[in-house]
Amino acid sequence: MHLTWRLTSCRQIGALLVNFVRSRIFAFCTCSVHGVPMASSAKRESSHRQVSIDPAEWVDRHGDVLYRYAIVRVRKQEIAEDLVQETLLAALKSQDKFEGQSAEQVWLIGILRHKILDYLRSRSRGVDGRTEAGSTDWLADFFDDRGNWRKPPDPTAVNPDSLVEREEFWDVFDHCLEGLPPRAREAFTRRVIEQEDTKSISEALSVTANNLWVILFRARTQMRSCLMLKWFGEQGGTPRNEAGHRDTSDRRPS
Amino acid sequence: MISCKKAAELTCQSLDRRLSLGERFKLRTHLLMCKACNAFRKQSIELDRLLNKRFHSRVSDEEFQRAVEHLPGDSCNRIKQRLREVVEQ
Repeated sequence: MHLTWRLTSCRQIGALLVNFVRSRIFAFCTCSVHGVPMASSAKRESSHRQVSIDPAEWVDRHGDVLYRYAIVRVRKQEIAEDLVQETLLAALKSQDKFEGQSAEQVWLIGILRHKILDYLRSRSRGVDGRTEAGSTDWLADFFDDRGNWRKPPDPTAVNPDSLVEREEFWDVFDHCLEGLPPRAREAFTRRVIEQEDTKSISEALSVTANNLWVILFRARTQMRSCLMLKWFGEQGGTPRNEAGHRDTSDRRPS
Repeated sequence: MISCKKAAELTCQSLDRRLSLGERFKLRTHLLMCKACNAFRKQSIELDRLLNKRFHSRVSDEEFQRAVEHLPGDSCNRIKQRLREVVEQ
């Protein structure tokens, strides 16, 4: 119960942060689209010039923070470096949209976040079905016609806690994440890693809340199964097991 | 009695939204009797927790942490160079 509460409050804080960044970005966008009154525009310009100076200084001031943010998510040095560079270049191009008053770093991390999501999306090996948003075809890989597990999760599987400290785990994790269809991958990354709230994810992916739950259900089921298979070598799903399974032999009283 | 498929769906959704009383009851009843779905639930929650821990707290692996602490000097210079080029254009 306590853990659940803590998880929820973590999510809420995460969601608040994400919303804050979004509202900043949204504010910049609306400014550039609708324009602002001349006077305030000029004022903004002048105050802005005092804040943004040599962009190379950004590298000294924010380079480490951005790099750290990127590398724990993409975990490859060259890619993290590239993403930092891309972020700063993008920031440079849109710096007139940045108000000096708001935290520069928050703004840059917001840009970096999008770059990371783009990168993760582009690496996806999976294919979105034609009707992917609400598609339930994939369910047939995990459940039979009667809704029983084809490969029941193994209750005796090792607790992964001690194993995640090992770097190899994260290679397997990457491999599994890349196996998800792009949309499931993005939803999973935003939800589970970034702790974004489901409302803003469904808006970003332009799907309904229900569709998002289906997408996340798929992502979670597939990720669990892939990790268990690749890392823990979970067995199960031999033809005999499956046959036995249809007789609901999985529903043993505990 | 709900199927394992439905139980797995509810388990996943419980991580994303608050289940209704009826849904919680159905899920609990199923979980009481199904070891496989219990394992699924435990592993799914664990996966969430691990990823959360990994990405939102300090990295515990010291070596990894040292490696990720700073943007390497040469790429630092490369990025600065690139930014100056763009500014000059």
